[in-house]
Amino acid sequence: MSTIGLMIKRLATRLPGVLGVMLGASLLVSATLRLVPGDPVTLILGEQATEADRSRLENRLGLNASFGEQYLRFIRDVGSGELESFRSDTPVFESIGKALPQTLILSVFALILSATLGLSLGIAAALNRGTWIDAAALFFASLGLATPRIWLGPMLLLLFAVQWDLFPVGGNEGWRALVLPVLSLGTAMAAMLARMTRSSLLEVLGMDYIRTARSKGLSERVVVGRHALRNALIPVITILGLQLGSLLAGAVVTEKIFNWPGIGTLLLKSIQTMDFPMVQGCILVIAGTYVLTNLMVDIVYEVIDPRMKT
Amino acid sequence: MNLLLKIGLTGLALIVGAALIGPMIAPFSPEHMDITRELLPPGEGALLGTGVNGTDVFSWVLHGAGVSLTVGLSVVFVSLSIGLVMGTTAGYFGGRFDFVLMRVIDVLLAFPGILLAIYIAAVLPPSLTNVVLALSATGWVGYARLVRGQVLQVREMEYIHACRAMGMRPPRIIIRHILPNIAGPVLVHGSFGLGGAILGEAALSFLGLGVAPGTPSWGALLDDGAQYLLVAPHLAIAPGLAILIAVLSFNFLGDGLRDHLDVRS
Repeated sequence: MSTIGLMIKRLATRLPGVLGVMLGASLLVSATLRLVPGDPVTLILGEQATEADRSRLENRLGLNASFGEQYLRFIRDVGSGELESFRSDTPVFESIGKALPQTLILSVFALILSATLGLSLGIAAALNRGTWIDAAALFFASLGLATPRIWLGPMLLLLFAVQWDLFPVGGNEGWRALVLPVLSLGTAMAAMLARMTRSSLLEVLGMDYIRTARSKGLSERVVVGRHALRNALIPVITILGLQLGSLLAGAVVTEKIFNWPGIGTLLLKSIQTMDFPMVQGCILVIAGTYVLTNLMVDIVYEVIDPRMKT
Repeated sequence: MNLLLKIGLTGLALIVGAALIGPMIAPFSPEHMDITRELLPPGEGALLGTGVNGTDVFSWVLHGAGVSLTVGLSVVFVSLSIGLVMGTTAGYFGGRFDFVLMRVIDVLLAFPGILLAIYIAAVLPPSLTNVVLALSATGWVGYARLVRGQVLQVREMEYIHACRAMGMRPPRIIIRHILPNIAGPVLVHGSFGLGGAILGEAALSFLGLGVAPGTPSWGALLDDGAQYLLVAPHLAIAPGLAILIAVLSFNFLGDGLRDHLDVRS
């Protein structure tokens, strides 16, 4: 079967499961809103609202209906893309459509940074095991993993934007505005990838076929480049793909620090203004992007793995 | 005892010490305000400077250790309890419960990172209890999956078959014979979980969705620090370092425990 055909077949088998997960996620998101203590109408309009205003909003939100009816209406609105915001005239998915590309730019660049930095450090550490290079890479990895994003962001701003005036303090104008948010978002993942690459490469380098390759008289460059890295990087690259979703969630914090107009900023603004449909829309879109990315990575991985073709 | 474990335990002692003794040695209570001394740099009368409304940063950081530790331990306790019950039941008995649990876990895993915690914290009013609730709502999944996997392995071992053959009841087999044998990995996961929960609380409070205003949380202090970065950069440094030390300690503790419990090493 051709690669494309195999991909379509795998996609068809996995799609019902993914749809089930997304339906479950939407049910959870709808049900959680019922946890709000007090009623959302008072929360939105305040204690002083008139009875007429209250009943108008109640009708608009469909709060008089049962949970089942509310959920069906929510699914219908999500499905048709007509979910309405409480606070603005722009439909929810239109606002998200404007914000999501900004978050994706941030996440994809963070992914590129962490892949470049993480893989280089991990490979350098594994090839120089026990030396200062290894120790330095491991130190960076431990520090990078433990440094909270909510701290790294302000510290980067303090040094590179306030003290040395190299990059802007916030916003999304030009490539210079991208540097600090990407560094802030990608560092933890670079650290994780460095650790993974190091241990994966060390494991592969200890295998029999590498010893065979060396005993054949192949140069170290060929042994590492052609034989070891190929196998060592398969699990690392899978994890790399699966991490894109975590970057989307991490972007909520990063966008707040750098005032980046992405879906995280939209989510936080909607939480502050109690625009629940917008909050639900943002959460579902991030979850959906995450689930779809995972699905694509899984399928590509299954298709490129030669064992799956037999 | 390996070096990582020693560093981790030292860090843990430092944080527990700060949480217990901190409130006694802190110069001010977290509620103390003095608007004539707002956003002062570290120095005279304030070791780490002052914050918004003249709060003493050093006192806040010391009191914050208690908040972080309370949240960390509570989240681990709640998540671990739910995860243990769910994981052992699903792993030992299998069947329909296992199927349903795995589907629930699939749904919860559709939300990356702390996204679901952000959502739950957003619909609940800010408080320490609700932060614990929001972080535990997703935290238990990791424990349930780990415990289920471990139970699936252990339940097929010969000594468990022997217990069954002797007519022992499942609760007794689980409590007396299975749980002690899966405690190691669960303990390691728990110490990483402590660091994760502290980080989670700090992130939620930083986003304004965590503890109630006025509660001395490191994340909330960092939020002030980020807002006043140009005029009072000192505000962001101390709480961030505190979070870093706490999380690093618990990660070392986890790594150290794993090496310590690994019979091969």
